[in-house]
Amino acid sequence: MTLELVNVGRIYGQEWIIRNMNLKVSNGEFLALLGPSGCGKSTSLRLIAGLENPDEGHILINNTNVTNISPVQRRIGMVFQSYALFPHLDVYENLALGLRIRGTQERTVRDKVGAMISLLQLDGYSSRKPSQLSGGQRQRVALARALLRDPLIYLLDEPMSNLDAQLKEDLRPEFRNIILNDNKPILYVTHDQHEAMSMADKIAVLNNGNIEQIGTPTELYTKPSSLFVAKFIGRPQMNFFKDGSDFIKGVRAEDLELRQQGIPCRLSYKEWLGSNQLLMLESSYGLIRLLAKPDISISENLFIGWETDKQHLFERISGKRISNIF
Amino acid sequence: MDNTQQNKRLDRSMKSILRQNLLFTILVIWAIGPLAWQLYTSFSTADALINPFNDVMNRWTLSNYKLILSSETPFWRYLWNSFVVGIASTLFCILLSIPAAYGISKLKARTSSIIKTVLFGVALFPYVLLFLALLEIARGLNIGNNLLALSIPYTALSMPLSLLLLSAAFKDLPFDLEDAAKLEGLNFFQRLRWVLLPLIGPSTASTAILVFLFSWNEFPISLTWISDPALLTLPVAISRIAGSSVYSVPYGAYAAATVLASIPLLIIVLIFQSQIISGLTKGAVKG
Amino acid sequence: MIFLLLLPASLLIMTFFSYPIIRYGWLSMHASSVITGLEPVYNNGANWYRLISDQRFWIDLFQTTRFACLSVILELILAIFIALILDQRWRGRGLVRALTLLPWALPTTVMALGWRWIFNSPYGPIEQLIQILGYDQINILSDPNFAWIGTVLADVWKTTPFVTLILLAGIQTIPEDLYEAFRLEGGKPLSALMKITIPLLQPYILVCLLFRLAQAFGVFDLIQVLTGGGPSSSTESLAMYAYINAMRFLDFGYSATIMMASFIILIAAYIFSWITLSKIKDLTEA
Ligand SMILES: Nc1ncnc2c1ncn2[C@@H]1O[C@H](COP(=O)(O)OP(=O)(O)OP(=O)(O)O)[C@@H](O)[C@H]1O
Ligand SMILES: [Mg+2]
Repeated sequence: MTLELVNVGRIYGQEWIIRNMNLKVSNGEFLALLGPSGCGKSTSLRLIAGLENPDEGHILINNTNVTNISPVQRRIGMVFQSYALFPHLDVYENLALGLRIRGTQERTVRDKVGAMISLLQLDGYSSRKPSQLSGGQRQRVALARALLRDPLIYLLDEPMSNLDAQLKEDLRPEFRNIILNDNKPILYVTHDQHEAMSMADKIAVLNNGNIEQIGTPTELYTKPSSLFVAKFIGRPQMNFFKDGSDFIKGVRAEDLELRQQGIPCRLSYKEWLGSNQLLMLESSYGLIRLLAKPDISISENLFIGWETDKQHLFERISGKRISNIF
Repeated sequence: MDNTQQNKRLDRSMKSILRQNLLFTILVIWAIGPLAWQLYTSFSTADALINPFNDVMNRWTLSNYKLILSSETPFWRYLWNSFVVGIASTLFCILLSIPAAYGISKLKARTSSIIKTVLFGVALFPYVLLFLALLEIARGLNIGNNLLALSIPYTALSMPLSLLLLSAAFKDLPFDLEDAAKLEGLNFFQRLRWVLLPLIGPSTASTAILVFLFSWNEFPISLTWISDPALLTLPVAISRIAGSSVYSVPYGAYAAATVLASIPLLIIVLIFQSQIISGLTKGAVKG
Repeated sequence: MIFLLLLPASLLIMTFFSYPIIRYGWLSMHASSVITGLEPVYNNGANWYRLISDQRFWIDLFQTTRFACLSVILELILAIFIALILDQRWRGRGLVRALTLLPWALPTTVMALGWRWIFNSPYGPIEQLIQILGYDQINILSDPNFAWIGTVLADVWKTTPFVTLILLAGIQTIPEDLYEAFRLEGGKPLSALMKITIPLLQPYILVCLLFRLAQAFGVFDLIQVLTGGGPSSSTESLAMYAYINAMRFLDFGYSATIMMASFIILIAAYIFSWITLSKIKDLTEA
């Protein structure tokens, strides 16, 4: 089973919110859609689900054009950014509603919902209203509802965004396992690069409605295809050196080295990160971030440099990556 | 030193509580004093009313109630008529408003705000001024003296407020909820039945009560549409009693009528006060 | 789809609000009375000429305006005070609120009948009280100079709760922190009322003002039952005059003219006050 987007575009008013979107996700593949707030992530999911219609292009599910087909027929399992649980129904009824509407026998409903409740460890909560659940529990109910839909495709819109950092980390593997078990295409929206990198097989970086790059987390990290991706992926942020030429050099903080001679810098301040320390340096190129060993002692004035094969080269005007031939 | 200060503070708060209680008492007397007077009157004999401070033989009586309940058209008949019109117009109004309010809430922001402004303007309109044209409609269609027909103008006149309240209620629902229901396979009517209506239940209830109160109390249209004495609604029946003889003193009977007319409302207000209040205030705020 | 959902409701509203106004406009240019056999005959604006020179119309307009303005102002002032009291936490507040709502919920005719008995002379409680105190009877409802005060009193009694509730809702939207911050800066309770409560309450006050003025301008039930417009038409309102013309004199054309005129006056009043209000607003903001 596959999900495919061909040249999909969407206009609000005069403005293209999504433009020329091409994507392909196959069975059991976990694709993260990553981008800053307002770049059109939710809109892309709504287009795929059929809650909105594209103004150009089309959407294929299993090579069938579903662009003009109703949301119901597309069989989408979606977890909304807000979870969208029905506030007046308890957990059990929230999960059973769709099954009943689709004409499932009451006994089967009971079995399926029961099984799902224990799979997601929601036992004991089935007669609670969503408002009486914690954020993590709500998220699991929303996931359970999507799973019970027995969908062709999973669309997950920032399902972790309402959770605190610790809970996010705890839930990630569990979440990934449960949903990957179903072996369907999975599209996972997030603005948290850490989340995307740790969960996804592939990541599509979205900027202003355009896909900047699609690739595995490693590809994005080691070969960012544009300045935007290079800036967006990796923390601390990549350093950029503009020297008046038509090129911009990018070097990651961990690839910079302290040297006897090179670019002169002055230490502005340092952050202790445990396994290493982050130095903030002032130079004629502006602020530079450098990751150093934790035990090194640092003097006020120092010099930095890097190996040329660690350097990324971008065209100044277009921001496009130039393949490294040095 | 510390003690006296505490005492002072205690003293102050006692005073303010006393003052508050006094104000509340005034408020309650203001609100129900006239009603209490009616209650007193309705159980008093004519003699007792004329000489309130003299000793009269029979001070208390039930005869006022007996009189109005056993007159040619017994008084409960009017209560029943008003009840029928009230229920019918409430039902019509809610049934018609819900789809329309849903529609308004789905319109583009600009369009729906224009519609709401217009509705607000219409809701302000002193509808008394409409009675002549409505009378013509009733004559033209020959639907005077029909309680169900009377509920149609009531439905229309309550519609602006009802639309404002319900469309605000739809608008307040979480954005994704209906989409989630769509993906679950619910069609429009199923969404309405299983998701939307249960969630706007409280707003529907307060709207319904306001509509009911409006038709229960409406006077000029009922006055012109209904002439059959057996079909009069309560407000008109009361005004007829009032018009019958101004200078004699069957006030005991009047009072009994007003008491009987007030009881259903007393019950409604006591039970539904929070819905009425939320309906009124939302109507004001959203409008 | 949305259009279909809106259709029945819009048709109903059109029929019962727009049609009458169009009809009045048309009817006001026609004679339609017993003389014409109740058939409308075009009369070239004669109704409007008659209206302009009809003293009773102008007197009624004055009386209606006097009634509307005075009762709405009194209601607002009272309601602000009552709302401030009711806002305080207090046991049994719910019951008090329900009881204050009662006058508003009762049919106007019912309470008007009640007030007629209260004002009754010589047996009503007010007159009895005055007698005990040793004063002369005033017989308010049969004195052409004072009867209208009785109508205002009854209306204020009935509608103050409604205004109170809306203002109360407004007061409750004002966050407590504002008052605390104001106190910290040394503000006194009374100036908090003038500097915080009243300004933030403005939109609510405005809604009440608009709504109540329109309703009071169309006053009908209350006066019809309380005084029947008397004594000697001293409490008659425009709506009543239109009603009498239609139902007693069977002069539909003229009745429609009166209502059309009321309608136009009301709209003009709204436009006028809207402009004045925004002028005042500009001035205070400048
Ligand atoms: N109904 C609408 N009308 C006009 N513009 C809209 C509408 N809905 C969304 N937008 C715009 O479309 C853009 C994309 O919105 P979208 O919700 O897809 O962003 P997102 O990437 O999901 O952001 P977030 O991470 O904050 O959820 C935003 O700039 C938003 O302002
Ligand atoms: Mg989003």
